[in-house]
Amino acid sequence: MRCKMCGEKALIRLKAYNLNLCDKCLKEFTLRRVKRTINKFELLKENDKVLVAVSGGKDSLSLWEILNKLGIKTKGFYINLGINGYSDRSEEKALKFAAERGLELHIECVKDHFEGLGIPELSKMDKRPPCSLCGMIKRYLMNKVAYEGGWVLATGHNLDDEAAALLGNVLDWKEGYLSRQEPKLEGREGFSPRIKPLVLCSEREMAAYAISSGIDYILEECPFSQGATSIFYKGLLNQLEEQSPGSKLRFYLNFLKIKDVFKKDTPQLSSCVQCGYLTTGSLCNFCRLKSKIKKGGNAPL
Amino acid sequence: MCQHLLDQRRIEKDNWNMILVVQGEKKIQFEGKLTGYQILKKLGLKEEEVLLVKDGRLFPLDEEITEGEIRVIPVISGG
Repeated sequence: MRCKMCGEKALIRLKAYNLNLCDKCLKEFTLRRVKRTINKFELLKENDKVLVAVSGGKDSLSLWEILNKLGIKTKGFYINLGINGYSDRSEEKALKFAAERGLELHIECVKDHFEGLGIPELSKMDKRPPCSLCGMIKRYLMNKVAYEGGWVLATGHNLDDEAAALLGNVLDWKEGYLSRQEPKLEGREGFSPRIKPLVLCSEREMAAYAISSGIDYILEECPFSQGATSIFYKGLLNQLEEQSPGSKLRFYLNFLKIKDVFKKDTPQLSSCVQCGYLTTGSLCNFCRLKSKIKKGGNAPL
Repeated sequence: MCQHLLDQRRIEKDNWNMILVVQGEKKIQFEGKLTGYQILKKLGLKEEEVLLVKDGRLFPLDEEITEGEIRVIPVISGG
């Protein structure tokens, strides 16, 4: 198997593009693909600075490296979720990555915001699934830090993540979610702009990029992700991909062509009476959880 | 010849043509010659879902391996 770009020995075959690539050309290919995604969807303006949400995993660390290689000003942002062992091990990976490359990393700990409680304890206390709670807290903190610092927030969602989310949203016809599933969400009062520069790169490409680039990422999965629906959907999409290479990419790109069909008027938002950030009620979910803890909501633990 | 040298030779001989496939906590040994594709087939894995790594580098699926260690890296993550 020879590299289609340079003729050297190829290490990977990317069936979706009918492309065999060597180590060096794989890295160049991924870099170009991310650059093209940024240009195609106008994700960034000149002089934008990017806060990269990192989890210690292959996608977010690779994204951080790629944005730096493209000459974009970045800062990493890690949220320690307080999940026993797992959070500390993933934080270590993010710290090591930043230290080795001389990059700035901002860290927030969930426990610092919720009186020493991490996601597992908060989930029990609030009687809410850990993933839903984790998503809410991460979205709040990422937006707050990005908005207050004037950053564009970038996440490492890849093509497989987006295609799996799309499949889930289509199966239930969740029009609200479909209307917001875009590579870029514009910023506005109280909201930082959010971008997903890896949406055209498959999960396998990103893992291959990370390995080829010597990125030491966490292989371990979050203990709460076992049996997650998104993983099941990814498996289904990969079955399709095996039979018909390029299916995931076509599914996602063709959706983007028609996504405006799902556009609706934005729900009326007001400022949270405690933190001032926009919410649908009078108190945002983040502040509601904080209030609950202050009122002794954690007593049964 | 000393007994320990004989033992050493036996161990080396036993490990000839041994392929050690490491998949998470699991370690599986195969004898003989296998391509990356054959390893995936034996493990019931799909090309889209994993990468093979040998000595820290990507291992091409059409290449044959006769001995050494191959790590199976899952690429699907999320929750």
